[in-house]
Amino acid sequence: MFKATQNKIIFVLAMAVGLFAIIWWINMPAYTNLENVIPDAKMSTQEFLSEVYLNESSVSEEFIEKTIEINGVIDEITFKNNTYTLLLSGGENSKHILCEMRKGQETVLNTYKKNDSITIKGVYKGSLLDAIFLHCIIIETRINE
Amino acid sequence: MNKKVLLIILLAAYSGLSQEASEMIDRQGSINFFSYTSVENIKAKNNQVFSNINAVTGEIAVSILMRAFVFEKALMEEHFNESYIESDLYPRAKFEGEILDFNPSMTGRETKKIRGVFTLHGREKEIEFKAAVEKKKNKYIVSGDLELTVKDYDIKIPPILSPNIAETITADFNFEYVPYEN
Repeated sequence: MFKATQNKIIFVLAMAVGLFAIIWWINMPAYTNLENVIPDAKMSTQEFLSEVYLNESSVSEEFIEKTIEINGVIDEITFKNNTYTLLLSGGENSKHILCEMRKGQETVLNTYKKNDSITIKGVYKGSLLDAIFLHCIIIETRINE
Repeated sequence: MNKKVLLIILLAAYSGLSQEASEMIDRQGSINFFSYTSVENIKAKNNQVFSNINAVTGEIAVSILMRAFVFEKALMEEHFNESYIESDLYPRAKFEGEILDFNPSMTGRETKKIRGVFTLHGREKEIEFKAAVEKKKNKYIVSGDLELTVKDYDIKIPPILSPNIAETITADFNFEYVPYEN
């Protein structure tokens, strides 16, 4: 009798844990919206590229997975694979900063064009030919018109 | 004399142009991968893959930043980078190879084999796969898909999670190469 009750309790607890796990998994956030995240560093495109490419091994590692606020000039806006990306000009440096935009930025992004100044906030992921930022949001309205 | 000088200038200009045009890049190629199991389907996309081809020889190279894969859930990305791929130790995957029987004067779309060495998680493996190669004006488009076996790259999956992750991962890719302007 006692054994049967104990088994029932274990069964109910297991069901509850399973249900909780399923609800947790479904409601788990996709990615943090950077809107309210305080950036770990603020710099210009040129400053960032200098830090990353002149001190490649040490300094760039420190920035990986950090939220960085970057201001720069738009060289190109691309739309590929259902995703918008901003290419910020490196000036005399032939490298760029690529900012893959978070979904929901399309309306404000469409008000920008090549050579506009812009400030974005994104997560630095590392560098290939260019420095790559993901989950970017625009944090400043346009300066020039 | 003037004709000789002009000829030299033209030849120099032509050789410079052809050298420049042979190097083509895509700084925003895309690679998506999929893992299908009865327990869970996992997919991720990376839209910031760098690749370059030599439009004369058909040599091709791809460099993939592992942390630039975006998953459906942030926790999946965390597991991928920290537990499986170990992105701190192996931040990039790369492929170096060639498009076989590449014809620099091709027009339209052709199916070609690509062969080369793929390095992932610090392990190298020679692979060969088919891809569609298309020439559109001054642009080359290379796309296709391939399958990768997880154990070939010494990626350790904890036993408790092994039912969730397929032994063979399907990846598709798309690159649009334009002449490299340095």
